[in-house]
Amino acid sequence: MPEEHPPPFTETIRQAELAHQQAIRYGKDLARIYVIERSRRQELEAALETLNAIFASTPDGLVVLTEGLAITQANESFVRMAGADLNSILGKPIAEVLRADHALQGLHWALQPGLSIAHIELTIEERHYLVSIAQFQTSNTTGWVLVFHDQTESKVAQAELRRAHDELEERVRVRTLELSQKNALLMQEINDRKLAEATEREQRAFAQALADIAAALNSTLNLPEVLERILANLEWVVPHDAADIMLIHEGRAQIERSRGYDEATAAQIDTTVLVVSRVALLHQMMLTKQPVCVHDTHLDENWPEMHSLPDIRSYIGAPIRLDDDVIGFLNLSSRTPNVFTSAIEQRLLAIADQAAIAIKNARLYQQAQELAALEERQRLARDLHDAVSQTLWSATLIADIVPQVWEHNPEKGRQRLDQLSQLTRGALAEMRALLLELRPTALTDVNLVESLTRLAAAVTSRTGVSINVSTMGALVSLPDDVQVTFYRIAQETLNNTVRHANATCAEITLACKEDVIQLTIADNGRGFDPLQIPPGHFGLNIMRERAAKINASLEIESQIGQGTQTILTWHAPTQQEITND
Amino acid sequence: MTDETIRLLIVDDHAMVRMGMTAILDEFDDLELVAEASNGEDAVQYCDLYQPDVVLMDLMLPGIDGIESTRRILERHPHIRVIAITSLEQDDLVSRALKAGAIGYLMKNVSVNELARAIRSAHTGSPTLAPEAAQALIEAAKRPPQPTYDLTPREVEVLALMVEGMTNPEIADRLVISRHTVRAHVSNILSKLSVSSRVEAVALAIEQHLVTH
Repeated sequence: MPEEHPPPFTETIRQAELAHQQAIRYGKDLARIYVIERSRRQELEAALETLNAIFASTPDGLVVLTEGLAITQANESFVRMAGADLNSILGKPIAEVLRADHALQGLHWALQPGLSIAHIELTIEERHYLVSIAQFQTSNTTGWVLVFHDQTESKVAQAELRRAHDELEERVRVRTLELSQKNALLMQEINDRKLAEATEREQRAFAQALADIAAALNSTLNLPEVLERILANLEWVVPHDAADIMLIHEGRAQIERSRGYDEATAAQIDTTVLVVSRVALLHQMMLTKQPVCVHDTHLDENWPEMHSLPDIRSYIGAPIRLDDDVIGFLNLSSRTPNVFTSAIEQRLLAIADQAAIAIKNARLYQQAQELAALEERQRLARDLHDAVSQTLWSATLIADIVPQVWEHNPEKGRQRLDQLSQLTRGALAEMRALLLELRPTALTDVNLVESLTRLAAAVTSRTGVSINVSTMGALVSLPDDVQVTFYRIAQETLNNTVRHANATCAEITLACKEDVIQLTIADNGRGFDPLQIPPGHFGLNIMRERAAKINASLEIESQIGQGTQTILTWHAPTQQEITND
Repeated sequence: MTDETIRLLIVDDHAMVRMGMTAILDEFDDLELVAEASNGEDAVQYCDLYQPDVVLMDLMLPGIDGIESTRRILERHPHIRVIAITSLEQDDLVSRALKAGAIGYLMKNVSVNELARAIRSAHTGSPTLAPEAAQALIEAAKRPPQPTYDLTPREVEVLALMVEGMTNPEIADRLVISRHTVRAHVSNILSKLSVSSRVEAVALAIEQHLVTH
């Protein structure tokens, strides 16, 4: 528009024009503002809509309270949670809506003015909610937004988790307990086993010792040796300083064997004879048949005053029991007090029982030996006696017929008389040999050549086998057992010659050269194959045993058809060997 | 006296006894000594060789004894008459000798004439018993019979082998039966004899003459 001539009223028009233009500008501004406002309102509505949608659709229960805690708004979730419809709860105080009376106290506490936000937990109809409470303030009112977050599942899950956890903990606890119990048991077991092993080891050692003792005892039947071995083995089982074994004869106990005492003490006690009934400890063992133990001889009134045993501070004794009888005592002592325990008592008793058996065996063996020797002597005596009486009977037969023979044939009569004298001489020889058998000392009363000569004469008389006895060298005096052994072996050899060899003559030679005595008996019999003769035949074993006992060597040489030669050789021990014995 | 000559065998291990008997037999025309033996084996062999009418048999001999020799001789030559002659007074010897088949039993205290008479009786089949022998038989008759323990013949056989010291396998081999069977026999024997061990059974068998050996 041109503005070259502004009129006077034009001024007004111009001003109106200006106003008009201004109004248009305002209008435009208003329109613009309207547009902006409308878009803002639209944005706001959209936001509200969104908010409402969120409000409605959120799974958490939302409720808005205003004055008097009355419900002004509530979303779907809350309505559902409250179990009523929306209209019936709007405007009502929340306490009426929620039937969780017991929880309301907390709610009321949380809803006091001034607290901007709080969280409480409520349980409604068995469901658990975390309630977040936010207070808001408008210009004219105060209100609260409550968000009910259903945490039942997580609670359950948590509870589950906790329970699982607890359970796990419990299990761990139980298991730990079990383990510790087992551990304790195991420890116990280990201890027990260690103890058992120790006991077992000890038992085994003891059993081993007992077995050793039994074996040792069974290996010999010689009583002194048996006693010696008992004492020797005792050292391994029961430690002690000195020990002895007493045997009882008619109520009196005497030490048969001792170990560990000094020489003077040993010499003294070895000859001491104790009347069992007068020695308290021995008497007690005799009566109870059980061991006794003196822990400290200085404190025990039963310990006898024995001047010979001043050093003994503790003592343990066991009765040696045999078939309900006490036949002796096993005594152990120590220079230290309190070394013997009750465990040792039983061990000692076990050994004493072993000892009893060994002593019994040794005694029986001794008796058997004596009996066997006696029987042997009796048998030989019976045989000889039988031989003598048969020879005499034969002589009687001839004597009966001599007168009659003489009458019709004096020549034959003389022949019979010769036979008669031969028979009586034979009977005499047999009688002499018999006397050697009947008196045990007779064999050593005469020298070996004499006894062998008598033996030969008797055998010749009985069997008709001619036997020549000769000696070479000067016969030295022989120990009794050697002389008897030589005689017995000669006797047995001649017995074989007569019984088995069918010999007609034999030669006995006794050669003495320095310290060697050699007996040779040779016959002209049928001989035998030594390899074909089973051991034990012809009394060969007995002969060998006899020879071995005096350390003599026995050789028997024979061949079928070549006769038999028996050679017994004995070396006199040298002076050195004698001292060693 | 008869016309017939009686042929004799003397069995005795004692040379002096043979000497005396030989000497007196020489005085009797009807008695002829055909052989002398000093042990049982020879006696059996000489019977085969000389066929004597009568044997004078000493009972105690080395090797097989007089009783076993008698049994063996009579087994082969039932017609031979055996007179047992011994110096031992042992009760059971008499009955054992008679059981073995001896027709006479004399003691070695018999007189010359008694001996000759006994030989002639034996030859005609008549027995002669020494008074001691008769006495022993009477005593034996008075005694309660010895228990036999009801052993079967087979068990007696097994027991005899046990007495010889044989082991079960050896007995099985000898009798040609199984070891199992032997074991059964042995256990029966032990129970019948009421003993607890082999050794006891053997001892009892020997003591009571349950087996001949």
